[in-house]
Amino acid sequence: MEQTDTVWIDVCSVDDIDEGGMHEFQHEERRIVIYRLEDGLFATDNVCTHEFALLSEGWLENGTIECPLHGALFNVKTGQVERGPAECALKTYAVRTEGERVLCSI
Amino acid sequence: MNEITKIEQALSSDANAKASIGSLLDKQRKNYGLQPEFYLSDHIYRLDIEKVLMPHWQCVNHVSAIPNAGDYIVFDYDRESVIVVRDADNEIRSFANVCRHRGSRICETSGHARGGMLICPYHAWSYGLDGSLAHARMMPRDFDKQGFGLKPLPTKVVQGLIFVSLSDTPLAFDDCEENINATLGIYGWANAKVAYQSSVVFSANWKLALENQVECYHCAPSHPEFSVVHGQSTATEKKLIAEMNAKAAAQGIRVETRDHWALAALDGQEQAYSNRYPMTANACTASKDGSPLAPLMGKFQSYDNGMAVCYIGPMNHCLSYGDYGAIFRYTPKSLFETELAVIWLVRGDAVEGKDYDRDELTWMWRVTAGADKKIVEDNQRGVSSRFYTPGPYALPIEEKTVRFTEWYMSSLANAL
Repeated sequence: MEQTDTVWIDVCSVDDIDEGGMHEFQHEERRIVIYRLEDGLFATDNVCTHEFALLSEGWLENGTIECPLHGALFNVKTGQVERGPAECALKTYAVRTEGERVLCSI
Repeated sequence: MNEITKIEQALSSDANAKASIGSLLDKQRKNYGLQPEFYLSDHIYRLDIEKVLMPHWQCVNHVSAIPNAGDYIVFDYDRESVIVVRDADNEIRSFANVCRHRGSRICETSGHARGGMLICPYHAWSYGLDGSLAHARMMPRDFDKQGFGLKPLPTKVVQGLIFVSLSDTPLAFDDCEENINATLGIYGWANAKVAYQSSVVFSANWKLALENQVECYHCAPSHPEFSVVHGQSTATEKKLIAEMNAKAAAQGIRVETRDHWALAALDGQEQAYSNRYPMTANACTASKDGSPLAPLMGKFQSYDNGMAVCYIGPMNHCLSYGDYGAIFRYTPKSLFETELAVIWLVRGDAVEGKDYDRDELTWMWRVTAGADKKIVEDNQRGVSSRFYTPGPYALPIEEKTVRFTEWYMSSLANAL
């Protein structure tokens, strides 16, 4: 049977991410970016669903991430597209802290 | 030095150009073909594009070719290229296909703007369907994108036909609009759909293609298929016209005709022409044997054994039979290259394979346009010979060709 248990990855220290900043990491084949907003930590796939570009190189503002390549805009909490050219939502991941550590569920 | 080299040299300075073209125009005999230089000179071709043709409108396609928001057509015209797109509000808009960054062509071929963006493949500047610049990669955050939207072009939609102009000061379109409504409107073109489209490039100057398009002197020898079902200006034609009009009138249909074409165009208005022609006796439509091809269009409840033609400007000729329509659009590509696009229309709810057969529907004009390519190219080869001297047009059957060349020469003279 397929393993469905949530795996929490220890990604970094809370201090590694500035307020309003991002932290990218790779887990196996997966590229993920963690966003630190005023109201918490959120994570999505780091690759735009439109064409290959790393969102961590884009612009984080008002809870949205703007892709640096064509300007697609995603809500970082829900992954939903707020402006094209992307048409598919980003996959999102749960994030929590344990002491000073940031954990992300894969 | 041959004649063309001489004329090109003479034309290379603006001061000489006026005198040289002026003397060519003076040499022109009334009701005779054009001097060879008009078909061979690159300099004159540039004047043709920039001065003679630029103020006119071009038919791009029918709105049904871009049914969904984000669908776009790339329309190439000489050195120019246009993106015609259906925006999120279903409005048809046209933009110069030139990126505001460093001028790259943005869209190569017709397609769909995924996610509602037109994206330049060069540096990925991304434009919304309204032409506004939505994103300019790696430009400073405070870069003012507002001043760098795609350049909008004048666009009209009449009876589903999309027209664009590449001019900053296009001719007025009111007369054409009225004419299209009064002719193609009766045939229900607003609710038609594109059944098929094809394009063929004639290796010939645009004027030869148009001279051929507007006369049917060549039809009997060059288009035997066409001649089986279309009237041929014979003694019996008057009777056929009367029968056609009676059959239309019995259905309460009156298709207007108008002749504001060539030099008869109204002042400041695009050329508008329409006429009605009978098919040969008992032929319903332009098929192999005159048999019906598709569901009747517009107001027609039965065949009137006739057809309507509607010209919009010098380059766009629409035909409508009772059951299908065809748009013929000529586009100059270069001095010796002219594209003929043929777009077939059927009633909007007609289903291919059930209500019409695509091959049968398109047969007549595929065959006829193919034959036109050959005769026009042969014509170009002939006028390129040093033995060509302009010959007399056959009147009255080549009357429209005379009018076309007179309009052309007058437009060129005015441009000098």
